[in-house]
Amino acid sequence: MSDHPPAPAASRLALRNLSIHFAMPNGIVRAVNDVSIAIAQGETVGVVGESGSGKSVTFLSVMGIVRAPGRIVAGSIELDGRSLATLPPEELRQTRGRDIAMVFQDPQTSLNPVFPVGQQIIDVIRAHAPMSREAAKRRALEVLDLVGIPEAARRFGNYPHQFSGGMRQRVMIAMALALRPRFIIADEPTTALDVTMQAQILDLLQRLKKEVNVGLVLITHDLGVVAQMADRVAVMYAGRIVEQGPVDAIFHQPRHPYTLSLMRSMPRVDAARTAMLFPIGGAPPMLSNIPPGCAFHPRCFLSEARAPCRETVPALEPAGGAAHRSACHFLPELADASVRARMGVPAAAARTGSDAKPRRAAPGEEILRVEDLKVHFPVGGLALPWQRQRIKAVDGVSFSVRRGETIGLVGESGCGKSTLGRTLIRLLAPSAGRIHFRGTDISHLGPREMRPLRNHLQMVFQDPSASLDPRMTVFEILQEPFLVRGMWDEKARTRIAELMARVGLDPSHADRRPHEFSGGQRQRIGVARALALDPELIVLDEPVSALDVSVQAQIINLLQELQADLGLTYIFIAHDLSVVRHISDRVLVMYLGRIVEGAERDAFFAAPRHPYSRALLSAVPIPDPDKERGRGRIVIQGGVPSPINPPAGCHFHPRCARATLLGVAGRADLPLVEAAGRPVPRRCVEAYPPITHNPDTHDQACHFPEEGPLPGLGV
Amino acid sequence: MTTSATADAAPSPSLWIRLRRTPYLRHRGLMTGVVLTVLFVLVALLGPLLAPHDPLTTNLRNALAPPGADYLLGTDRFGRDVFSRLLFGARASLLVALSVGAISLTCGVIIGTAAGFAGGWTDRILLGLINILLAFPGFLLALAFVAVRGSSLGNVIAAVAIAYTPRVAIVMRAVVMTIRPRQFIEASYAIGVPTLRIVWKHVLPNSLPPVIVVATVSAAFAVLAEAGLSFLGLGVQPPAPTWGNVITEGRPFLVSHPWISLSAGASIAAAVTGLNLLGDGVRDTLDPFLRNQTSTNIFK
Repeated sequence: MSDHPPAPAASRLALRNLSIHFAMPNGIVRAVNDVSIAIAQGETVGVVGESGSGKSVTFLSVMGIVRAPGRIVAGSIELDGRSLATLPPEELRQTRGRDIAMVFQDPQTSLNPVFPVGQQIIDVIRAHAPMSREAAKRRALEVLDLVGIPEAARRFGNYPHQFSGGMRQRVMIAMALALRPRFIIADEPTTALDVTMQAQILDLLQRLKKEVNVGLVLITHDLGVVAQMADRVAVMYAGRIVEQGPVDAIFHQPRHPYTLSLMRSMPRVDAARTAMLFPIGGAPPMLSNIPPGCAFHPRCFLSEARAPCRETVPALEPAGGAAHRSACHFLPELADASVRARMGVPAAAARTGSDAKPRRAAPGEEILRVEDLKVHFPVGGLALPWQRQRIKAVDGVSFSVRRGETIGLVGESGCGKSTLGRTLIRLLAPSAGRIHFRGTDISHLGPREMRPLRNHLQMVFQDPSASLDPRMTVFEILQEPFLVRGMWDEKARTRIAELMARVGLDPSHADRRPHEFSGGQRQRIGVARALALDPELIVLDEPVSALDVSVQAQIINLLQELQADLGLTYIFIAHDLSVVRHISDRVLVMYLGRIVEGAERDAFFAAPRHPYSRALLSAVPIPDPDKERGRGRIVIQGGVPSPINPPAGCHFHPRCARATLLGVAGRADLPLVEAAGRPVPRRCVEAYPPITHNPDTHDQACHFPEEGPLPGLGV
Repeated sequence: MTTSATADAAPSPSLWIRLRRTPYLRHRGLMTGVVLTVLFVLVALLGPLLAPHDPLTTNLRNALAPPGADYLLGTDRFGRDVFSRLLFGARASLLVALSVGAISLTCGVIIGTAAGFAGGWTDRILLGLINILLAFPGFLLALAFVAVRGSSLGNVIAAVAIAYTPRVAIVMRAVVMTIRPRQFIEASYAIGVPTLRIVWKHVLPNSLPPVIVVATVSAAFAVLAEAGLSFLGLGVQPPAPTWGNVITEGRPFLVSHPWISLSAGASIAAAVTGLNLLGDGVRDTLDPFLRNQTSTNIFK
């Protein structure tokens, strides 16, 4: 830096003792309380917190877009020492966008659908810089190119809906970069994206930070993303920063009970599983009703309701290194190994070693067998029936499930995993193929014939607030399965209380409606409903992905307990490979309606075989900065192709790293053809690969199953 | 886990406290609508008790008397007490409003639910019929019906109900179509709830509020339509009093004795305004967007 005299000194964005409150009809919502944090140009600060921790509002205030009942009640926001509050409105407007830009979570809603993306970038540029249309267009093309939009000039006039989710987020980043800002605030920039897309976007942000020298504020709930990206980390809880420090210190010597609890409540994709997760009890507090004293004390393993925790808000104090600060009354105790042991904080070593065996019986006889299952949906309702195209959501899937085991079903969104799950319990009808449940073919049973079988086949849905009728009480929700079977009697009434207690709900809350419960409790209601009729097999469709990290662990533990006690069989659909590693016995990987790899859990995570599985696994960020630095990554390009017209031959060949490598290797025995802009083996394009059975229990659908790990990528 | 469940669920307050927290009592339009509508209903129910004179007794010596202590709103050309005629006339208006509201709500809900929930060809055929009916202005449709079937209170009700049922049905269809893909409907299928019970227990309760609003507004239009038909001599036949034919009877004297038509017109205006404000107010307070502004979830 110092070699370039014209370069200005690095800018600094600082929040000083910032407090933001919202005056609501039923009380004051204290969204941000006394937050101080500084970001220098060229560094990445990760801001971590669960939903409702005030992390987004804190930085929305920097952009001046805190909405009406919200007000900055104390503190200031300073850019290079000048308080933004004292700037005249016009200058303030100029500062936003030009000096500080923002990237939002959902690129679908933050781009205007009725204007071409190029036009939207030009508008942003010309709103800030007096520039001709041509110059603005040149700049727009430049940034679109910079963020990796292929053929930027051709796509300039395209509308947002013509881009995939990942591409839209690139456009948003291009828009943020257009005015050469010094700071970018990225609010959950990858949360709405698949893990492979996330890897691409994080890669891009990392590269931009170096190339354009911006200060990046990365707001996220994902500790893995922070470990991968951040230089410094701030952990927020109930509107306060509770711990702040360099990324290594935060991850290796966390000095706040919340940070510690958060880390051990997360299942990890890189570590063998512990028998149970350590959840944080309760739920994050409402910002309108923050507990007095230390906001975390009701959930804290260290506090034991001691007086200081209940009465005084702890200040951020140095913990360990100079830059590492934590707000806990009992900092010294946390550092003391003996106290940590007493509190049940596991030593780091507990993570390693072989996978702990779940305390339940070995899988029994076959309970479900699926043969060449296909589910196709016609699209284009106005076309004549024989001209309609078909979405091949599930396109020839075969597997079997034994009683008592958990099958993890993974894949990017749009791969057909949810459709498969719904078809297994016959919420959807298959187009072809067979489903045998306990030996009975259920693939073509009508709704009336299915009804008695539904006692045994159940489902838990992703979004607990959407899957419960908002107008019914918990009692009515749990009563319904009994009512519709004519099984409602006094015994069933006591059974409802039992069910509620079983899933960790207070039976005296039976007269409440779903909105009176927190997200985690609502999912418990969903689980209780599925359990009502003593099911044998439950399809769990992303049951924890809508929940906060600290609550996720509670539900995962509950599901495991129930499985052990009731001998349940699970089909666990998820995109989060860490959770799948924790809970599954076997893993099935789906891509465009087909299973590309199936393997025992340990074998799969030790060495995934199919190039798609490898890419998927390598895209998962690991919450450990050291591991992240030493890690190779297979970043697969592009998004999932349309399931209406999947690519010919092996559906994965346009994105496949193995095909690329074989194309480059130019082996004499492999005739090559051009596909997706590179040479690949002809076989990949000509035929869908047959499933091969490996000795180590991996089944995979690849033409080149024997190819070893991809050289140079370490995966 | 059980203790955590007790700790973070909100306590269940009494009905009055919950009502105070809702936006209902603070909505000025809604409160005005409620007061006017209640007044309308009371007048119609208690009219015979309140009326100082028989609405049908003629007294030519007192014809066209101005408003005074004996005749609160004066008399018409046959010497009948206008005030008493209005009190009795309210009954016809209320009867039409209630019947049309109830019939259009029932039929509209059934048709709309069938179209929205079944989808496919059922939806296309029902939607086609609804659109054909919607293509005619409601009042013209009612006029044509009464012209063909003859004028009686029953025919007025049938005519107006036919004109307003498609309006309720089209709203119901739209609401049901937003409820049907929601996950709790799928969840009900998953536990084996029969389709009819799903419609009755899950779809209807969740889609009725906006439709009730439309039905309230169609009741307001029914008052107006009945008055209009009676004004044209196609509604309730004289000498039976309704607001519409009181206006007709006052029309020749509009300049010299304006109170006859004006007081009937004002009654119609008050009743229609009341029902409309009630409907609008209920819609405003139930509207999820307006509601979100007052909820604590402001970050999403």
